[in-house]
Amino acid sequence: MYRPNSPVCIRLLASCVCALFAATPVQPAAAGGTQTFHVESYDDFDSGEVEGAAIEGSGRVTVGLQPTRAELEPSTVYTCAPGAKGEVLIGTADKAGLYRVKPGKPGKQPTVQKLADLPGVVVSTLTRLPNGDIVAATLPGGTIHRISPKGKVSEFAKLDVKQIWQLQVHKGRLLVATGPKGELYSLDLNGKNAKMLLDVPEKNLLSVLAVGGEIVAGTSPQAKLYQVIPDNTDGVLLHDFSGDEVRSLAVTGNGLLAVVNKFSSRGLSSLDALTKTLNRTSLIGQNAEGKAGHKSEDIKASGRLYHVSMGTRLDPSRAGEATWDIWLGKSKQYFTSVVAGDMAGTAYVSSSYDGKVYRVRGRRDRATVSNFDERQTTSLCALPDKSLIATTGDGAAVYHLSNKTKPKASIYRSEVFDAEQPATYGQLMVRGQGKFSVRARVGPGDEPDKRWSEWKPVHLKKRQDGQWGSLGVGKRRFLQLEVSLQSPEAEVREFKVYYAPENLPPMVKTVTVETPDFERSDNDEPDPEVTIKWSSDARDDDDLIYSVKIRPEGSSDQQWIDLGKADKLLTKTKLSLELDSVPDGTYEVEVTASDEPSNGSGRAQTDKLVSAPFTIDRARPTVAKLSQNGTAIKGQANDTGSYIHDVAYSVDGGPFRAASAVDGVFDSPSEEFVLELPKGLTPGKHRVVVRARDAFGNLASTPLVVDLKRS
Amino acid sequence: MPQNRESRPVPRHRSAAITLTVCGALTASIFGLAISEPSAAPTSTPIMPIKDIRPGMKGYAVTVFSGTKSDRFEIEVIDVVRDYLPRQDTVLFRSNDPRLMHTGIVGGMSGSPIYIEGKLAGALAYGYSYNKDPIGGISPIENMLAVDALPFRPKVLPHGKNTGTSRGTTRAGTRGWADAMLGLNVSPLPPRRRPGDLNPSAGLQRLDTPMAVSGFGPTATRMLSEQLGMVATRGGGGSGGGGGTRDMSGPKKQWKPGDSLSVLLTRGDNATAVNGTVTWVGGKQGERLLAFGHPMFDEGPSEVPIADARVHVIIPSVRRSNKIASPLTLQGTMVQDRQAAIGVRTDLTPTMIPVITHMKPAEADIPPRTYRSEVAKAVDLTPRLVSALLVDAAEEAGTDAVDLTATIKQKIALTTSKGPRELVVSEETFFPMGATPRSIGQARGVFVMAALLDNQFEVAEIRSVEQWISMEYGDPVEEIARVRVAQGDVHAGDLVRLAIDFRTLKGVERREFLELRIPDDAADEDVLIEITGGDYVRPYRPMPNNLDDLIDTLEQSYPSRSMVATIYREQEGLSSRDGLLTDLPGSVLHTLQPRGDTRAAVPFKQMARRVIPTKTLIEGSHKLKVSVLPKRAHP
Repeated sequence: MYRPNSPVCIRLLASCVCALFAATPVQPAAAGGTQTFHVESYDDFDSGEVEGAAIEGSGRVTVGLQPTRAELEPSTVYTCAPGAKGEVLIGTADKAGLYRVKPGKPGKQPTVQKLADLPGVVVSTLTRLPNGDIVAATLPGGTIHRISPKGKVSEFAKLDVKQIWQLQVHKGRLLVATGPKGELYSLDLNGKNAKMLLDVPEKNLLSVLAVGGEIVAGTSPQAKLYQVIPDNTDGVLLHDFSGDEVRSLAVTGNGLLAVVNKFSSRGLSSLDALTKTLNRTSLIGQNAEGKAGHKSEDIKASGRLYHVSMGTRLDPSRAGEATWDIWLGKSKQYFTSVVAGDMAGTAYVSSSYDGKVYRVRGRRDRATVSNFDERQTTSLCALPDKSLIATTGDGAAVYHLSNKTKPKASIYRSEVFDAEQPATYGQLMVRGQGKFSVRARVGPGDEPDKRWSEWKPVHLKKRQDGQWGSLGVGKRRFLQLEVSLQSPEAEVREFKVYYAPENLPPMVKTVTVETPDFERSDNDEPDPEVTIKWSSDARDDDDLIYSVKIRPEGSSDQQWIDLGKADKLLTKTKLSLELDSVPDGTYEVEVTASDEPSNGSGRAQTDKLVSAPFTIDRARPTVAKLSQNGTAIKGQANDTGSYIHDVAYSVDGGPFRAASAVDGVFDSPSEEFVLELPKGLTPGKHRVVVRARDAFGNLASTPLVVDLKRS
Repeated sequence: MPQNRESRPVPRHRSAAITLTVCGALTASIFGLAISEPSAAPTSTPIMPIKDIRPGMKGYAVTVFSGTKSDRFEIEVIDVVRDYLPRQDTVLFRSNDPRLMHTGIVGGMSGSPIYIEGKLAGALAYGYSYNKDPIGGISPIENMLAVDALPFRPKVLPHGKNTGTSRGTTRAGTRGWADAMLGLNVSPLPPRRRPGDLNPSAGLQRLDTPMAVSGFGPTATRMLSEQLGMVATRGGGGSGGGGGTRDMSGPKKQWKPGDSLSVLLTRGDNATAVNGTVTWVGGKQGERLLAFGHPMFDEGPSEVPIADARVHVIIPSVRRSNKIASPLTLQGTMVQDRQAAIGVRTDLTPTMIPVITHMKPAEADIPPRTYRSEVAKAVDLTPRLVSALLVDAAEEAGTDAVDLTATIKQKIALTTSKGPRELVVSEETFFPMGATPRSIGQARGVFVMAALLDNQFEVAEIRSVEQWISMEYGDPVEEIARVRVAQGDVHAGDLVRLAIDFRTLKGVERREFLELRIPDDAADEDVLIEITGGDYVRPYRPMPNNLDDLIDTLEQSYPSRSMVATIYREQEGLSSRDGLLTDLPGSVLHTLQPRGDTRAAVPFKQMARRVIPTKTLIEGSHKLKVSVLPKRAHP
């Protein structure tokens, strides 16, 4: 989801406000600063979804494979395998079942026919034997079932394993990759004469592939790739990937492709919750209320598609020494299968995330060719006509992805953009080629629903820098665009939406005035200035400027005096007020915040806050009525602007020492004080300076010559 | 005072009377459908529709004050209260009968027919607590007759209505049991609706139905009273008096409106019966009865036996007077338990579940005893009643305030769609200062029964229950005080030696060593080693696919006298209806884990477990998190 502060898509165009609005009739009134949603890179486009279009890695939307869909009853289709006559066989989870899928004619949905129910939770793998029978394995258990073309189920073979992960026919025998002992078996086509080909330390052989007359197999855990060698079940370790499993293998051109997934452990912290859920479901047959599951975005996993060149002779042993390139890497998802799209190096990868299917041609050329409504794409099968069958989980469906139908349904739908406020939408700029059209809709929530507007076509006109058109949609917070590619060569490379979110007035939250600061020990007066500080909240990321005014407390509005400088906008939240030209008195300041920089003076919103009253006192106190009585000196300090803060004295130019208030506390404009001269002064005359200080730090001192008698 | 007026022919005034079809046609609602005016029928009782009832009208009610013969008392209509219950009005009345002036409206009079101008207007069903005058409320006969139109559904086991989590304390049936087993600190049995719950304000309330209890001790009686929300009255409950279930068969009674009727919840050595009055008799042979004028448990279709009853006396009370009554002979089946009435068929013979309870006290000088009773069948009711029988036996076996161990074994014979099965569950519970019978009542077998009856697959036909409770003096209990790994680094594939310190209640400690094999493939992982008593963990089980699967799961547990050592792993497996899937690669695990609300599979942490029998009951639980190093090169 784009955010207006995202550097990629949003650019604050304060400088172009005038130019843009001159060209674009905008709604008047409280339109805020102009911002944009900008989509131009692969990642930008990939946040949206495609239907019959492809998001190319170079940041373009092009015409892609056209999907047609058929739905199934169980919750997940787990696996698929090519069948007879261009058909595909699929196996389901939840209820283990076997179905036959016949791709429809161009634009028509595939037809799905149930062949058989199988015992177990999930059909983990299936393949078609040369005689037309189908063999399938289910979890849990080591039984391979034979299913006749008419759906009759019989036991084909039973192995002493707990899981069978893949079946593949190779040189007139059936390869069986198993777990949990990491064994690869070979059976004859009657399910007999089992022979162990590979026995690796890892628990599972999750994938197996016959290539160039040789056999390679991938493991879980540890993501290792082994090659089967004659008369040695240890095999040869070809490559140790960084990951947890080699989920799928394929050959394209002269390269070997491996899907490797890496999962982060969920640790042990979920033990208690999971055990409780297990105990509960074992008693009541269904899960407790509430969702304890992991959403797809929560999956801590990453998937990678590796490629290694096997040379023209398709020698898999090269995989042990040649460099493996990463053709595709995605986080927050894992890959479920890879198939070759052609023998020229095109591969398709299915993903657990958002029902995506990726097309990859080398290290850089990658594209998102589908994202289905169902949560994950679970398997892919390539058909002889180079179209694909994709199966999905969390909502079982079968998709036929074909490039033969007309691109009338090549649609790219953007993510739902959030303007963060109800916004006025202006122009749309689209850069692309060929024939395409754009529609827009707006709504109040981030999920399009009945409250959203209908799709509204955007009429684009060609200009030098792209095609422009006014969106003309209502003033809502959320916006979605849909691009429809209407010719085979059509593509969209970039689009930008200009919008102005409703301007929220700023808020001045606090205003404080700091009077001069001093210490009791200071011998000088503080600088004659007060500091005005304030805090504010723009509330919609607008830039703010401020104005500060001062007036005597309680006087009329006409008496406000602006403290700002005419030649400079005040953007800081602090202002020092020199007191030289301000008469003593009680004052208040008013701070006004304006979002003019972001919205222009015509649309700016402001907020004001007046400070608490504060005193300016530059008049110095006075010291009077000094009198001596022995070593005690009395006197009176008076101030007009504030109160007497302290009184101190110095003897013969020595340091100032504190005198005492007669009433014990310095708190009033007139304070009588008393001081006792230090003991040890020699008899005779001494010069005493008495200094009074008011609350503003103003100082006044009076000298006094005292004559001490000999005691 | 006139006697037995109700037996005389009721005068018919065609112009005002509306006659009702007994067996059919009345499709009016139980839950709110409009009541259509009934049509004439061969066997009919003139009724007074509520729309014709006016303040000041006079009439009479019929009920049994003593013995088995009914009598009547005069009433006068005060007013009609519209929509007192959903789609059900009530009629307020006052009685000037001296007996009522003394006792007020009496619990047990529920269902007493009230005739106004000679026509049946409804049943006495509501009253006020602590009121000074005998003012009550009538359930209109139209609503009651709608109950009679409902069919008998023998294959439907009634559920309590007030289940669920609305009170935040309990959940129904199996879920409740699961909660209890999983230590969620809630009672496994749902709260029963009590009369006070119906109308929380101190207004017109459903009359308490007095529950005659015999053979039960005070704790079990109080428990029943609280759980069923009924006023327990001592006295005859139909007990045979120590000789097993008494033969309660007797001659078929010709029922009349106003007769006293008991619903039998338990009978035999321990008996419980809920008393009320018959309002209406219909059917060709008089085989259809309506009674109470209000629900008993409001559970809908039911199959609970009923008997005729003898009223011993009315105990006057300031709060609410009650009839003390005893059931006499088995006379039929309560087939409906609805808002406006209970519906009874006297031509249907109910089945009850025989329960034999063997009790062996701790005190050797007290001889063991065996009690034979039968309990009614209903999802929530049956476990409660069996629990009450167990509590009663426990109370009798002795609650001496000393260290006691109670051993409870329960054998439940049932029939599933796959045939007969027998399920045996047992447990041992230690009580440091004497057994508390109520906690014994929450024995595992009781929860198992609740789980069986509330299963989602089919109606579990419980044929019989046999339960044993024996008490022993002593404290064969040890608590796990400490657990530590008796070695330094732990490597994958190691046989780890754990030192476990046990402590008895008296503080005596002993040490035992236990060896556990760390899995070969656990290198670089954290594992959690848990040592606990057999009662505190359950075997991993898949989701049940049918009732027999569920029974298998219910049967699985570890012995109370055992110690369970488990190594939990970070990896997860999936529990599905077709078994447990362990050792799944990450992508398979995630793919097979649907994200919807209803799951086909749930994840669990993989584990390896050893169960070691012990001589004592083990309490407490200790967990150790261990970081496993790679496998040793030369073990």
